[in-house]
Amino acid sequence: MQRRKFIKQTGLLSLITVSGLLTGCSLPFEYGPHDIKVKSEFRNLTQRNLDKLMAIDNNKSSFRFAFISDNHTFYDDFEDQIKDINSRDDIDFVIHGGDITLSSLHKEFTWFNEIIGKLDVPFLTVIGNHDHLSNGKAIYEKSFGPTNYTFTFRGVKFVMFDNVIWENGNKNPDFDWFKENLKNDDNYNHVFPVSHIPPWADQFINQNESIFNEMMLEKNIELSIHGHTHKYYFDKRYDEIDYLVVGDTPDRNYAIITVDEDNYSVEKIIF
Amino acid sequence: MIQRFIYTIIAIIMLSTSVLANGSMTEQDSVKRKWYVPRAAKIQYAGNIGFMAIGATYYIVDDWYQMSLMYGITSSHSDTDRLNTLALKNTFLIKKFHYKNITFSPTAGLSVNLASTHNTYRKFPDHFPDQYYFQNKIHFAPFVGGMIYYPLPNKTIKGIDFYAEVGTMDNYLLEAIRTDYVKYSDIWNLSLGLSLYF
Repeated sequence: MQRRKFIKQTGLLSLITVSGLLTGCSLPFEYGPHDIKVKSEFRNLTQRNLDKLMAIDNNKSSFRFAFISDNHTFYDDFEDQIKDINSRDDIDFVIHGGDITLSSLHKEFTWFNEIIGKLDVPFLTVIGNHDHLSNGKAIYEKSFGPTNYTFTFRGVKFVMFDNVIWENGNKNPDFDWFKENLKNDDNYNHVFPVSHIPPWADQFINQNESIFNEMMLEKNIELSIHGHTHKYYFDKRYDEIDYLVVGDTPDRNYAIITVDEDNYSVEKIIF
Repeated sequence: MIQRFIYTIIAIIMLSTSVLANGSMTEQDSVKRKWYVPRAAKIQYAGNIGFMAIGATYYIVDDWYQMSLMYGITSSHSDTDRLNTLALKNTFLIKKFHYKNITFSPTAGLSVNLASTHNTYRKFPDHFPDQYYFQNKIHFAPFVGGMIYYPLPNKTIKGIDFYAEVGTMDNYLLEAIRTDYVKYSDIWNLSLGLSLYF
């Protein structure tokens, strides 16, 4: 009887231990929410998407891209937005205007990448102010690449610019880099700068608003593209240059920009 | 996966009540200690308070409400992206089950984690407008788990426990509640640890 009881108890305890261990094995270990942790499938995404874009950069001079921004942690609306873009067959690529997270926790970057990874076309991003919080810039660089970069597609140069100020140590954006790269240095049909914060928004205090706009005028820029204000805007804010801002994801709008050799047009899409 | 864990906890409780007898986990202290002398030293792997965290455990109410002050480091960070975490870990021993001289206990608790790293603030610097951001330094991390305690025949170290915990964090829990995309099963992580009792 004593022996039977012992075997019964040992058996039950082993069973509990084994089932506990099995449960444990399927859960991840995490060292911290601010950890600079990026899965290998989500690394170097800017270059990987540029490679995909290069593969479709044929001799045509017209194309169409979607511009979205500020999804933060509105994941359900964000999924709908990606589905809506995938339902179209006339888009060559997508640009995201920044604020891909709310607090720059590594899990938020992962959730963003899981959803945007469902796009049928390549995508490129600029960093937003929320993505600079905590170790966000380091995660962004590991997951995407440098925060300032340029690329060209079918005769158009895109200048992707990190113009976050407050969260970047309250220092001015790298305007020298920006000015240098805004040059139309190879007979491009257009040069389009993309940056998170429009020059009239909160962080552009002191001289920065006028510095930005003088650069636009000096380099004959026609269109500047932004996020940040969570409100759709497409107009000539300072009389000469077109400024495009799209709303945040719960606003359920985005923009389609159609570009050819001489012109471009912007269409607001509601989804 | 979480369901399985909960079933396991329930199984432990049910089976233990049928086969194990009652008793006390640790012998009552015959020596009166100074208030600052901890009851146990803890070392923990993972659990969102660092790669490895060490700490001291105090008994707040008898031995069923324990508080551990933990310090955790993540070694892979460079100086500029340092990541140190202080955690005030409140652990509740829900029930105690005894088998021979071993004590099993399902636990639950709430850890208050204070992360010190780049661009995390309790109060944001003055160049930010008021209430531009919510503080991002302190996080609340609930957890459930279980521990096994063995008494040791040693005068200095009177016992040892091993524990495993499944935890999450306020931000993740909020997204799991607020969105359909983030599932409850996506937000949990596992930690393992041991305590040495003095």
